[in-house]
Amino acid sequence: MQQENILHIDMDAFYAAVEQRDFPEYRGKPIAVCGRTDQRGVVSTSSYEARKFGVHSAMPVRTAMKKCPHLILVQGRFNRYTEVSEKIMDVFCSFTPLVEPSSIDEAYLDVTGSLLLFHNATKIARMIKQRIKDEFLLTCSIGIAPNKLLAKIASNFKKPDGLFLLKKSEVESFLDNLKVEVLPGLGPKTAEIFHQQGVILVKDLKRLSREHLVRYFGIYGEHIFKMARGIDDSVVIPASRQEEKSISNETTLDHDITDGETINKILLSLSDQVARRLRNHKLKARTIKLKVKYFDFKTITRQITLSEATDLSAKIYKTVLNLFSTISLRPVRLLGVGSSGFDPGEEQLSLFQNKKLAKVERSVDSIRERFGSNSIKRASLLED
Amino acid sequence: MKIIASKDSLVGALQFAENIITAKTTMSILSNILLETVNNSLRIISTDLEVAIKILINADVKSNGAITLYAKKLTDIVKALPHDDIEMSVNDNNITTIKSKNKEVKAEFKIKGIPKNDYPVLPEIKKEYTFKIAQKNLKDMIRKTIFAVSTEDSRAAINGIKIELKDKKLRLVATDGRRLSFMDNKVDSDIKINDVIVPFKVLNELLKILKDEGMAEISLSENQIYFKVDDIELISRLIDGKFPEYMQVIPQSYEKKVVFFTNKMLNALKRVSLLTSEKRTGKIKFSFKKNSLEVSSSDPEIGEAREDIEIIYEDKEFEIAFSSEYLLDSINAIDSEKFVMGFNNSESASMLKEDGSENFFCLIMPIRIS
Repeated sequence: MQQENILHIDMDAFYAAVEQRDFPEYRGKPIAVCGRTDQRGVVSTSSYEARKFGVHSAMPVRTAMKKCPHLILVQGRFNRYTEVSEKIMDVFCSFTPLVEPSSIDEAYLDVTGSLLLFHNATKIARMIKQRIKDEFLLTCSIGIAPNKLLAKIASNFKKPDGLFLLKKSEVESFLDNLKVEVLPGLGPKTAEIFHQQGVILVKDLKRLSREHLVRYFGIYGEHIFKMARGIDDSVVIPASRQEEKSISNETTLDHDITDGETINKILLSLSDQVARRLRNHKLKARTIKLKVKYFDFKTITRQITLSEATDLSAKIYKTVLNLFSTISLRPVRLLGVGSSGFDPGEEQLSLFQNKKLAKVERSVDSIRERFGSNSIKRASLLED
Repeated sequence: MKIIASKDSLVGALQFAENIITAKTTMSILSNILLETVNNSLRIISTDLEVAIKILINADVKSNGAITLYAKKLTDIVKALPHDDIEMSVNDNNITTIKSKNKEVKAEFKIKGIPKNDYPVLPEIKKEYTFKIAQKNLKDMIRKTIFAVSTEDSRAAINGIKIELKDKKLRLVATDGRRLSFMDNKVDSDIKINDVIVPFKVLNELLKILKDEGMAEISLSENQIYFKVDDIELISRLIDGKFPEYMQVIPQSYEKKVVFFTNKMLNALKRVSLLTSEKRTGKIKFSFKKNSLEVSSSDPEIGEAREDIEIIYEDKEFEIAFSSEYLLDSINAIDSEKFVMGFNNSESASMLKEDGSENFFCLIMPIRIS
């Protein structure tokens, strides 16, 4: 693990804060920004004044009004937030080129290189907070830690307007006494399962073996095992803004999903579909993209360019999972997997290629061609 | 600070320093070069936070000090002045005056500098291992391997050259996953180095700095590498990652061996490549016959090209195809008049090496012939 060089910056109640800044009449009042302000709407972001009454993101407007009858509902201006967000991201970029926006109001920064200039990460964090305050009249919370996972937990630890440095030497003692639900992506349902097993704190979670977790949660179990130990190997990937011709599949879910295992299954199925279409077109893609639309219609995309083009679903799935691990896990409404950057049909062979895997996937294609697309499935996609 | 230095030594040093600076940097101070006096010399420093260069040049130091100046303008100004001594002086407001000592040219430039305090402090490298190698040998080794380094961003471990040192033998290996270049060379050192991957950028700069005479010094710490070449020092971080198990993909033997005449082959390839498809692979087909090779290409939208050339080959006929770029890169690294290629079949790795030398070879994966 490296030193405490990763920052996670989370804007405080971003949508609500922008509204309160732009419209002084909302300042100091409980407000809730919603996609639609009628009874069927859902709260995207509530101001801290509203949170005191228990009004939270993802809460139906109906419930929110019951909790806080004088709540002001504000129609969201999402273009405006994007505009402000881009300017804030520019501020981050002036401290390090390695800025990964993980959503409209959050970003990870790797400041390893910038330490030569600014001496320590805490100093950088203070300067960023000051500039956000001076230039945007907004506040943010910053977590500083040895990796992205810990930085995210740290930024959430002292909200709002917080700054928390989680030192490498204190990671274990810090994590041990946190409640399991503090781990990013570990939703209420999963937490409930753990509570029933007497697992309340992270240190309880550490008593569960890797095998046990994997049996319960699949790949996500492996992730939980690592999270409980503060392990996260993902790197800060700077955002890239290009789009080009692509083959992609996406699916809108009939209800919002937070459960990691279900998401994994959907991503696997989408990867399979994209890979098959690539093989049908005799194309290999060099760029793999993940698209996620959250319950509040915030949409984010992440993409990465592979060192060699692929048409294998296993490779696409693995890549997409890696990308997925870089974003925040909130209720998801839509998932998409895309591929682009196609190589021409000529097949440049690879030195380190996995020939067995390619053979298996091509055989699966021919079975599907003869017997229909549901004739053969991955075991993990079978319904119970 | 006030110094006088010759234009020629300034230009040379400033150009090396400017090469390190990344055009895309988001931090404006990194577009500057740091100049500071050291005893009776001038030290020129630049960095992109991953690679740093320090160059010492002779100067007549009138008064000590330091300043950072916008690299591009500084270099342009110094280049535009005549081949004489140049005087640079910095006042209390960081305004730097640059003028030529030439009596004919009375130009004077004043540029705004940023004080040294705002410039990153370069880390001192803890030299855990140090060895020396002749500059010429190191230059050869880098030149003959660097072209195979991957430029793609998804696998950091192959964005550099792997360096190993064992049994007094230095080894450089580079790959982009479809080709590989490998070179060994003797060095007089008993230290052992493994698992060191040096980024492309620092080696590419080093290649420009290395000369045919003298020694270069290389030092390593846990996560940095340091090169000292005469009065120039380069420091770079190392790549943190796992280099592919390259030994496993090197064929033990080859069924067919072909001897090529380097210049003839290079020229034929350049001609036939004119009609490869513009897209990435640029497929070139080889059809081997007894002592003769047909090199051909075709682009469905433009046309086709073929050329017969003389080779030394007595075995049975066969066909194989490669990317023209990969072939040209490898053959360009060949210094002998003849070179040898070894083949097994049209879908396995082919080897390319100099005639009479075992220290250097390339592997190239073919393009499947449809």
